Amino acid sequence: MKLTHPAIDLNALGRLRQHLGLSEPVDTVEASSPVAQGAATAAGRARALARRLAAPMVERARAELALGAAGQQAVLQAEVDELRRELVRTRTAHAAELAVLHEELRSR
Amino acid sequence: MMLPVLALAATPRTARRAVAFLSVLGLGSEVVSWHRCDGGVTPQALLATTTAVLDGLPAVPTAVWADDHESFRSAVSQDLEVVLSSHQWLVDHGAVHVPRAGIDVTRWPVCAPPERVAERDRLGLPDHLVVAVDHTHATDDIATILAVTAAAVVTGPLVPLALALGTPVVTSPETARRLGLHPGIEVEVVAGRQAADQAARELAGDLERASVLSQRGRRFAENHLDLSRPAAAVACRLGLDVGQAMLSPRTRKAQL
Repeated sequence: MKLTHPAIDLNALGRLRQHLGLSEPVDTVEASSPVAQGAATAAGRARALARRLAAPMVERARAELALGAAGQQAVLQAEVDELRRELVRTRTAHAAELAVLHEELRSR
Repeated sequence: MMLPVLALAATPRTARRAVAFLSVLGLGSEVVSWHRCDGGVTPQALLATTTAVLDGLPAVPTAVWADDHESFRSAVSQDLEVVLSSHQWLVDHGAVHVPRAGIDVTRWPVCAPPERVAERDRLGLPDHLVVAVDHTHATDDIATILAVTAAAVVTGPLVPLALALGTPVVTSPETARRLGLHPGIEVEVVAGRQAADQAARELAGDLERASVLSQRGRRFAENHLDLSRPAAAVACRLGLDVGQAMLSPRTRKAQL
C-alpha cells in the first residue's frame, strides 16, 4: 500500500496517460523480483537439517508477516472509513442538488 | 438512525446559490426541498436563499441569505437564527460569511509541488506537466490532473479547487479580480491564452516559485473560500450535527 492523494483517481490517471501517449509505469519492485523456483530434491536428512537451521528465520518471518498483516488491516480499515465518508459527501451533494432542482422547478 | 431533516426553501432564481453550501451544511442531515416536504414532514431546520420565501415557513431554526440592508433588516426583525451573506459589510453587522465561490477546503488536502514531483516520477508522468483547465464542473479527471500537475492555467469556477489542492496557478485578470486574488502573490495573472501557457511552463520549471504560490494559494482558499467553517458555525446555531469527522482532513490510501 502506498499513500496517495485523495484527489488522484486511478482511472483518471489511465486516461491522462492515454491522452499523453504514455505507457503504464513499470512496477520496479515486481519487475526485479526473482521468479520463485520449485523445491529442489534432496535427501531427507539434509532437509531436516536445513529445516532446523532455518527454524529461527522462519519464526521471524512469520512474526514479520503477522505484523505486516496487522498494519495492512489498519490501512484497509482507514480506506473503508474514508470511502464511507466519501459516500456520505456524495449522497449529501446529490440531495442538495436535487433539493435545488425541486425548488427551481416548483413554479413551472 | 433517523437523521434530522434540513429543508431548502428558495425561489427559482436564487436556489442555485445554495448547492455548494448545502452540500456541506447537510452532512449529517437528510437534505430535502421545502416544496417537497410541505404539509408532510416538519424539518428540524431550514435554509432559505432569500427573505422573500420566509412567509409561510414553519417556526424552526432558520438560516437565510441576505444581499442588502433591506433583506438583512427583514431577517433580523424576524429573529432568525442565522443570516448568511457574501458581502463583508453585512458580515460586519453579524451575518455569517459564506463565500460566493466557496469550496469545502478540508475535503482536499494540499499536494505541494515537491510531492507532485515525486508523484509524477512514480506515476511515469512528464516532469514538467502543464495543463489548461477552463471546465465548469470538477470531475475525477480534473481533480486528479490538478493534484499532479506542475502548474496549471485555470480560469472559471475550478480555481478554488486548484488553490485548495495547492496547484501553482496561472489565471486571467477577470478570474483573479472576481475571487479577490492578488497577482504575483497567490497566483500568476496573465491575459491571453498563449502568454498564460508560457507563464505556466515557466512556473513548472521553477520549483521554488511554484512552492510559494502553492502555499499562498492554499492559505487563500482556507481563509477566503472555505465553506466548512461557516457550515460548522451555522449548523451549531441551527441545532444540527454536521459530523465533525466529516470535516477533518482526509487521507486515503490506495495502491496505484
